[in-house]
Order: sequence, then C-alpha cells, then structure tokens
Amino acid sequence: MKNYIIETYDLCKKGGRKYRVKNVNLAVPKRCIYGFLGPNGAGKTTTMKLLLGLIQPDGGAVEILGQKMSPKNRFDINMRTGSLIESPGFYGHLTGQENLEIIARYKNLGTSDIKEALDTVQLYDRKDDKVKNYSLGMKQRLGIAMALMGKPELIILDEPTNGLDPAGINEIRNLIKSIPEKYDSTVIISSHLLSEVEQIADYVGIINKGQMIYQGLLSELEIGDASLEEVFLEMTKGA
Amino acid sequence: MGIIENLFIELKKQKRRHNLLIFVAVIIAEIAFLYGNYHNKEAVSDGWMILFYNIPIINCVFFPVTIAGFASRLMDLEHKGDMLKCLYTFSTPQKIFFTKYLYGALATVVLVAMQCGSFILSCRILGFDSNFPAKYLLIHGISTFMTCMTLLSIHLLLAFLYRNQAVSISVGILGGFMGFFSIVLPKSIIQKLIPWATFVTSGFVSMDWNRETREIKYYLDKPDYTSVIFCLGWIVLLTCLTLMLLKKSGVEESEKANSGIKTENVLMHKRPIEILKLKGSPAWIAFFIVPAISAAIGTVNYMGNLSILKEGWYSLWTQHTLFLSYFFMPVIIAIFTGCIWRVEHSGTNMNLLITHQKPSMIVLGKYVATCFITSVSLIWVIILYLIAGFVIHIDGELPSGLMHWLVMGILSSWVICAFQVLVSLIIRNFVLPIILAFLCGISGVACIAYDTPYSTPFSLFDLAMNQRELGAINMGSFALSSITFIVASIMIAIMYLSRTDVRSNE
Repeated sequence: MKNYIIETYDLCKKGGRKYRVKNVNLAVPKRCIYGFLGPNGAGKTTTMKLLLGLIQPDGGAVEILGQKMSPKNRFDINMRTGSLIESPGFYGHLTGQENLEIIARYKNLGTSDIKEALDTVQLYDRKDDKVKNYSLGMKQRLGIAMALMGKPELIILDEPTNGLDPAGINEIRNLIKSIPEKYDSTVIISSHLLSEVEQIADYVGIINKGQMIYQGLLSELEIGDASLEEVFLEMTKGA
Repeated sequence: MGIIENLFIELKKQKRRHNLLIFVAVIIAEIAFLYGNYHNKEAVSDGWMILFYNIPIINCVFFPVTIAGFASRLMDLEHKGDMLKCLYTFSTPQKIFFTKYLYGALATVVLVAMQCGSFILSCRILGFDSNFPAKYLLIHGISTFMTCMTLLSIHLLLAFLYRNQAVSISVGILGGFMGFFSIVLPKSIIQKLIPWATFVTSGFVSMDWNRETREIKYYLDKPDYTSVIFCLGWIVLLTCLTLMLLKKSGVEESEKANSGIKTENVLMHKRPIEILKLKGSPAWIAFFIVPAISAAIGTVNYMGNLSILKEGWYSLWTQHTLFLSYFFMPVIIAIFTGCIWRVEHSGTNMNLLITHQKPSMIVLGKYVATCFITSVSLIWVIILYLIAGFVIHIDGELPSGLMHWLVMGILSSWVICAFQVLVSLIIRNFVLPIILAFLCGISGVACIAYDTPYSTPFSLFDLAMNQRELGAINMGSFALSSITFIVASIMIAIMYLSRTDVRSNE
C-alpha cells in the first residue's frame, strides 16, 4: 500500500517562456501536516493549483488520493478535498451562511456540516451578515470554513492565517494541529510565517524559484541549535 | 496638482485598456450598416442628405450603449483594484471625477471626429457626392458632441457611485430604447427633453415619404438647436448634482455591517444554486422593465398611427415586439449572462467553483438559469400585449399564430442564451460581450434582409417573433440550426472551462 497521499513526478508549469514551477517532486505522507515553504513568488500557489487541477501542467504528473489528476477526474478527486487557494473566494452579496450553503450543496453535505463549520471558525454569530461587510479576518475564517466543511480527506490551505489577529492565528494553529487526529485527514499548509509552521508541521517542503530544494521531516532539517528560520534563510539565500 | 497633470496620470492609467477600440468598432459597424442598406442604390445627387438623415438615427441606437460602456470602463479600473481607498488619501473625489470627465470629453472629441471622417468615407464608398457644405458637418459634429457629453455626465456619475457596471449599462440601454422610440412619436417638446433622442431631434434633414408613389425625398430644414440647448441644461444640472453627491461620497458604502436579521437555525434554501447566487442581484430587472417600456411606447405609437396601422391586433404585436426582438432582447440576455459569470470571474471565486463542480454542470446551470429568466420575460411580453390590447379595445380576433410565435420565440431565445453564456465565459470583460450582442443583434437583422435567416442565432429569434412579416418558419432548417448552435456553444464552453487554466484575481 502506498503511504503517500500526494505524489508529483517532475511537475512543470510555464508562465510565458520562464518556468514558474520546474521538476517538482512532491511526496506527502498520509495523515501528516505538511508545511510548504518558500519566498514570495517561489511557486507555492502555482504548485497548489496544479495539485488541484485548477491549472494544467506543462510537464509531469500529479497523483493525488490514489488517482492521476486530469481534467476528466478532477471533479471526483476534488470532492474529497477541501482547499483555500490564494485569498478566499466568496459571493459578497450573500450571507456567510449562504456562501457555505452553496459549497455544501455542491458537495452534497447537510445543514449539520454548515453549522459545524460555522462553529469551528467562530462565525456563527455573524452568519446572517453579508460577506462583503465582513472584515478581512472574517473572510479568511469563512474561507477556512469552506475548506474544512465535510471533513475532507485532504485539506490544502494557502497561507490560512493571512489577516488574522494574534488570537485568531493561535486558534487556527490549534485547529490545524488537531485536524489529522480529529478528521483523519492530511493537511498541506503554505506560509511565510516560519515560526508557525515550525510549531505545527511534521514534514516540510521548501521551494525556491520554482524548484524544490528540500523535502523531508522537519526534525531532520533543524540541526543543532539552528531554528527553521535560520535554515530557511540559508537555503534560499541569493534568491 | 492641476487638472492637466491629473489628466496625464489618467492617460497613464488607461494605458493598454484600448478604450478607443470600442469607438472604432462602433464606427465601423455604422459604416457597415449604411453600406448594407445603400450600396446598390443609384448615385443620387442628394446622397449626402441620406447620410445626414440616417446617421443620427443609427447613432441613437449605437451610441448610448457605447458611451455607457465606455464610462463604466473608465471607473471600473478604480473599483476593481479598490484603488479609490488609496486615491482619496491624496486627491479629492471631485478631482478624480472631473479628471475622468475631461478624459471622457477628449475621447468623445475623438469619437465625433471619427464620425465626421466616416461621413466622407461613406460618401466615397457609396458613391455619393461629398461636396456638401462643410458647415453641416460642423453642426452635426457639435450636436453629436453635446449629446454624447450629456450621456457621459449621466453614465460617469452612475459608474462612480455604483461598482456594478450593469447599472450604467442598463440605464444606457433603457435610455437608448426610450430615445429610439420617442423619435417615431409625433414631434413634441417632451421628445426634445430626452437626451438620448437628441442625436435625432437636433438633425436638420427631414424625410418626406410619398405613400402613393413610394418615393422618399430628403430636404434640408433649418437646424433646430432647442434640444442641444436642453442638453446644455442637462449637463449643468448633472454637474451640480454630481458636485452635491461627491461632497457626500465616502469610500465605504454606508456601513451596514449588521443586517438585523438573525436566524436561529441553519436552514438550506430550496431554490437552485444559480438562482440563489442571484439573490439581491438586479440582473433580472431589465427582463421586466424593457418589455414594459417597449409595450407602453408601442401602444402609444399604435394609438397615434391608427391611420397607417390597420391590422388591429397584428399591428399592435409588431409595435410591441419589433425593436424588442431586433435590438434589445439580445442585449438584455448579454447583461444577464455577464452578471452571472462576473461573480465567478471576480476574486478567487473561480478556484472555488472549479474545485467543487463539474465544468459541464457549471455551464449547464448557468445556461438553464438564463433560459428560464428569458422565457419568463417572453411570457411577460405576451401578457403585456394582451393587457394593452384589451385596454385599448382592439376589435377582431387575436392573431391565430400567437401561441406558435411565443413557443418558437422562447425556443429560439435559448439559442441566443447558449451563445451569450459562451461569450461571457470566455470574455472576462463585462462590456465587450454586451456590445458584441448588440452588434450581433443588428447583424441578425442583416441576415434576414439578405434572406439567410438560419445562419445566426439572432436572426432565428427575429424570425420566430415576427413570422407574419418575415414569412413562416421552415421547421427543419430552424430545428437543425438551433440545435447546432446550442450544442456547439455549450460544448465549446464546457471544453474551455475544463481545459484552460483557471485565472483568478484579475
């Protein structure tokens, strides 16, 4: 049996003439928290979009949840995933609850899932307000709720703590930490906040200028007294 | 900072927006339209009068939508990137508005210049004598400029206040519709008050149609400046209104953070998702207002011309639906499909949609929603027709083919829906598909004129709605053509959605 929930083989994506992502070989073990790190513009979001089939690779392949990603089975695979890519998407003229309802109906989930998701991100009190009147942090929470709703097997979060206050960051951090156990799921999280990743991730992948420069256990990366930040800066030096 | 420096900044902002291309497209469409109508006519000595008579009328149809689209695009670039927040910290709303207004005025000068150029060009192409007194071109240019500026004042203000481009464009279409209809009404002062009609009411060439000999004679009138002066009045009035509104305007729309409604439980809605997404959206309103205006004006027109329109119920039907099906239905459908795709194109919603729904279901969902609302609108057209007919006591029987027209009309409108769903999916810009629908609507008329009514989705619809005038439908060709268009559009849309990369945050 395969132990990886995601594997990519020499994944490439061009943007114009240059490679945005080049020969990326990702391997994410089941039921772990995988921290995906890299400087701005390194190709984190592009890779995540490739994983979900939102964009088509110019080379290589993605194997996710035991299937090869293609435009044909993209939908079947994505039914088993939850994701927040770039900034959260939402329909501003609808309420928070209605936004979740749209996702729930696409995924064939019930009212109990909506309620649970609202409770998880503590938006229940504001569920009847239009999302365009939400603050940045609340929109972010809504995006996280959309990703978590229905306890999918694989959760992909692209900088989930953007715009959250310290208490919110702490709360989301604890939430993510508990996911593998509570939901029996795998989490991939990208972030610039190294200290945060340091606290929750089991595995890390570091990408720079579109190429993977490290992948493995977090514990193996931090040699001696060097913090993740020091290692990261050393690795991406001259970027 | 002076207004001139601001203008240079504005020019920089509009870089790569290709605003003037809309104008070029419209002028070309106008020339094509004229060519289609007059290219095989004998070279008549007063040919230039034909142009001076017809171009204002065509302008009256084309320009309102163009100006509305142009004005909304000027503001849209600020709304899209939420730039007003930033701009307000180093400029005033008045400065921002009037810089755009000045830019718009300059662009309008270009538009008018292009129009004047198109006169000379049309004369050459059509073989008309182009030795007419230059002063007429000047008068035409000035009155067209004034009219465009009035429309610009209206639409820029709307675009400034409302983020949604549909507001400005819908007003443009309603106005254009009103203006176009008002010119078939007997001359009155009210007609001159409608800024959208000024293109025509400021004209100086009149037409005399001799019913017996079927001869058309054009003759020069004394130029009538009343409506242009009214326009000047409108501009002053609108400028005052703008100044007043800008004083009050802030970046945030009035804070309505708490809707006040609190529900106890989490309950799902019963309606389909696509309809749920339209909640609170004004996209469907045009489907009901435009037929209502069309019916009202059509009825008034019928009453006013009882001496010519002698066919009772049938004449009323023509009055109600002719222009609606030729020009306005395609545009309303385009606005609607534009609105339903716009919510998906904005921000990162496309990521959300694509990860949660099959492309085929996305496209079909949008398509069915569009078809549904269009069908309801066409039924509304019939209801209005019946009400109007009974209110003004038309004698005689209802046209026997009425139900047949309606059913065929609804079916053929679904072809336009499919086409527009595809266009609005691929062209992420809001204005372009609408202008395209408008031009296609006109090309549909041309296809009918050239006796190839089964070659575009738009002419199919015209044909179905006006069967008595245009001849009965050949069911085989009709079905074949409709099914081909629908299947092709939907298939391409699905292919496009599943094969291309998702684009977000643009």
